[in-house]
Amino acid sequence: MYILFDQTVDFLEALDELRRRLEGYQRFFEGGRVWIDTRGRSLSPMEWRLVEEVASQFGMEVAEVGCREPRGKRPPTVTPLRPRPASHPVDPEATRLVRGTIRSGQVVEHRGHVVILGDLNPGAIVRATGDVIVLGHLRGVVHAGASGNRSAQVWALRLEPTQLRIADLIARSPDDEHVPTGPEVARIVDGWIQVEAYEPGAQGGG
Amino acid sequence: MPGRVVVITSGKGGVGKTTTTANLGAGLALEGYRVCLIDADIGLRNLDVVMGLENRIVYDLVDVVEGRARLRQALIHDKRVENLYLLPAAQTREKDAVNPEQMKELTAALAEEFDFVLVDSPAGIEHGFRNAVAGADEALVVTTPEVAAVRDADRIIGMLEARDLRNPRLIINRIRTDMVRRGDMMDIDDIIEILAIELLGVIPDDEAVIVATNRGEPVVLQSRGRCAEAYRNLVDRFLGKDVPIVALDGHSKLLERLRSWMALGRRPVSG
Repeated sequence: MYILFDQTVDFLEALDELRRRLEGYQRFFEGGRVWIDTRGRSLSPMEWRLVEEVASQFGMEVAEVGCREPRGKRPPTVTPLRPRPASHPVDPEATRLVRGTIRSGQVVEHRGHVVILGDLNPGAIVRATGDVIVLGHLRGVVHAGASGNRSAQVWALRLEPTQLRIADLIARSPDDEHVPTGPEVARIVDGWIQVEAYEPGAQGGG
Repeated sequence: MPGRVVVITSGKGGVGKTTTTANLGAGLALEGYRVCLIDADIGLRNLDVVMGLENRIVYDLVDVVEGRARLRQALIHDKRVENLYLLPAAQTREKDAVNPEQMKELTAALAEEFDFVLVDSPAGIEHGFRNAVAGADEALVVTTPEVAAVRDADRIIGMLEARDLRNPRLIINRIRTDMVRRGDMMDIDDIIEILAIELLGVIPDDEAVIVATNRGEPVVLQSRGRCAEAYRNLVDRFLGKDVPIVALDGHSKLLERLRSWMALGRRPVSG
């Protein structure tokens, strides 16, 4: 998830708004990482602390900080994992939201993550370089991490894919009838695509 | 006000598009509406045979489009039902003898004269399908309770939506309640769950339909029989009457489940 701080808005107001928005999603973002773009604003150590607090309150980790202008100095209290160079602005298009059912014969391709608010029907294909999240019934074919990212994951409220691909690995659903009872996540563990029940907070994010 | 142009389509062949078109058309005409059926399956004439009007064909759709006949000359009046007409397909030509623009003109001209123009689409998703949907205001999707038919119906619904034929409605044909109850056939819930569109009607699998079709008389014209009843029910629902989907064999539990599903289905899926 990306957070953009608008310079024209009061910091505490922005933080309150962020908290309100996250509350609306409850535990959905748990285990996720936050990318922060301050748009050139420099935050005080106190302000940074507050942002981190809100993030951790919702189970997220501040992974990366980006500033559009070099004057945004980062205080020593923050140790970003991979600082984004100032000349490299955050791409707001990194996640694509698709509303509605993806039907047989339809293909969704995207450079980044894909979130589908609906079902992925048999015969439909989603290909993404990042993660794929289906807030519905996943029955089609998904290829996550399509450019070779083995840490990509596939999440679905009901995960019954015809076939699942992550990076260069392919898995098909077992021939015996597997009926998922709840949300599941698929990812690569020890060189195999594995599916397990989604437990909030237990995932590594990505 | 021009009439409604409705395309009846399925993707997969042999699921009962033509039979559905014939029965829906005859049923609407019985209710007093002026109805014209168009057989858009150029090269494979079927609808005239199902309607028992084969021997009356002089001109066909391609003759009209190419200017060899006026529209009125090509229309065949049904031998039983007042207000029911058929524009037959050409048997000797290929599908590409007509283009979507010509179909649009044709259906628009017919919509001036008729309350309903029903277009019987050919199977497949190619040229013939594009012709059939070209002038349509709305679409009905026919499927049978088979995985392959449902898959194709799903594909067709996606293509209809891409052509701005939003909210197509579903007709499930040839359902066998005994098989569904044994768990040997997809039930209505399974189908609706995948296709997620409004269910307009369910037609049971019945020999009476085959017999009637071979005789060239739509089964809806029969006074009794569960299929005739199911088609009349379909006609009522098509006309916007608030009637429950016909009880297939008094299995009320199924109906209850169906109703709850319909209620769910009315919630907007996308925003």
